[in-house]
Amino acid sequence: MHYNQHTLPNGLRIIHAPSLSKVAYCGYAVDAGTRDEQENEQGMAHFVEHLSFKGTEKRKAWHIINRMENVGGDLNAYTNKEETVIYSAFLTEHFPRAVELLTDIVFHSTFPQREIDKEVEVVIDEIKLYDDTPSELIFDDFEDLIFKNHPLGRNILGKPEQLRNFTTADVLNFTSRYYHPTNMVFFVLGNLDFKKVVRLVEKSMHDVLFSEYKTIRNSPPAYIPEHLVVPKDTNQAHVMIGGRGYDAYSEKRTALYFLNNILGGPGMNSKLNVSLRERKALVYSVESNLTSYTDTGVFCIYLEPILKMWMLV
Amino acid sequence: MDACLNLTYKELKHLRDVKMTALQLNAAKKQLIGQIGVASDNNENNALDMAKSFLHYNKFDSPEALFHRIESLTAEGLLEVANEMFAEEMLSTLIYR
Repeated sequence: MHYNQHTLPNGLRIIHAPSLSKVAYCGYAVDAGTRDEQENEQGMAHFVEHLSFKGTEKRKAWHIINRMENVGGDLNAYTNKEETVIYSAFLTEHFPRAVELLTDIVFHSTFPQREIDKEVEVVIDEIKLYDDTPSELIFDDFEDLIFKNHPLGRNILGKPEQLRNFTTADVLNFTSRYYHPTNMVFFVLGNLDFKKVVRLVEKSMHDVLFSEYKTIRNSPPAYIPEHLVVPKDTNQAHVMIGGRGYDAYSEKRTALYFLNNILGGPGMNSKLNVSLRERKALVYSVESNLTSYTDTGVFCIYLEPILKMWMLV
Repeated sequence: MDACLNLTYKELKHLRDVKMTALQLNAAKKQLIGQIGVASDNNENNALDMAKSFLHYNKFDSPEALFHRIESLTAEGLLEVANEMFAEEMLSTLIYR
């Protein structure tokens, strides 16, 4: 894929992939995720993502949500262990509007306490929902097992008791550590002139100055395999098998990615699906996954065994 | 439950012990390259993948570069990786029951 890149004087890297589509996508990807939280900040990276739509120095939440929606676009965001991404999808002609809004959100959010207090309850509800979905929860709990006592093992959503104590100052403390132009990229995919992209991004950031910052991470300690059975009040059993995988830089990663696809990839002809489901009807579903981080990785197999009636008696 | 675990370990053992034939290797490469090609028809995901890659690695590999790496895989290399990653004594288990 052909792409253009440029670095602004304030250190922001811009990457643009040309496309012929009438729809464009752009946003900021920040090098800050769950593993970058301090012990008393669990859930903060994800919480910042939620709060980013709740007010800036010049906009109320209502103005933020309407700005792209009014022209048929949308605003979206996600957080994972190593990054936070805030982005928009829109018709290409609305690119200037999207850039201006996203820059405002990323660099000028005010995180008002009244919005924090409301949003905490939304996130706690998300945690409860997640706790009621063991087929998703087990993936997080498995990473906790693989990266025991390391921030990579933490749940992205955080803990209710800590979330309820978050203040505006706490949130600003987190963003002031990581939300620097040198610690993020601005990305665009669309039918746009790259010079115009650079000009508009630079204009939107006229008051965002250079500040040298790069996220530094501690790698997890040596891995010791563990076997854990957790009693759950559910009708369905859930099983994870796996271990540490290669990091994203590893030359062997492609080989593991390939093996993972053969073993339990999305195809119905994967070895595990044929063996456990098609031939023996032992599982509702089976899949294997590979997640690579910047300094380590996880390989896992997930099974949902069918419990026969006699097992329930 | 035990039958599920036993069959899973059996498949892992097979990948560790038995080298793929040329026919199996080519078929698996063709499938994966096809899956990546189909998935690449989603511009939103393409934009997000590009962002992530550029954020952490300051580069973005085209699907063609990934296809080349997949085409370069050998049965011997895969066997080596399977033995490193799928060794039974290095696997953890978590069961909700």
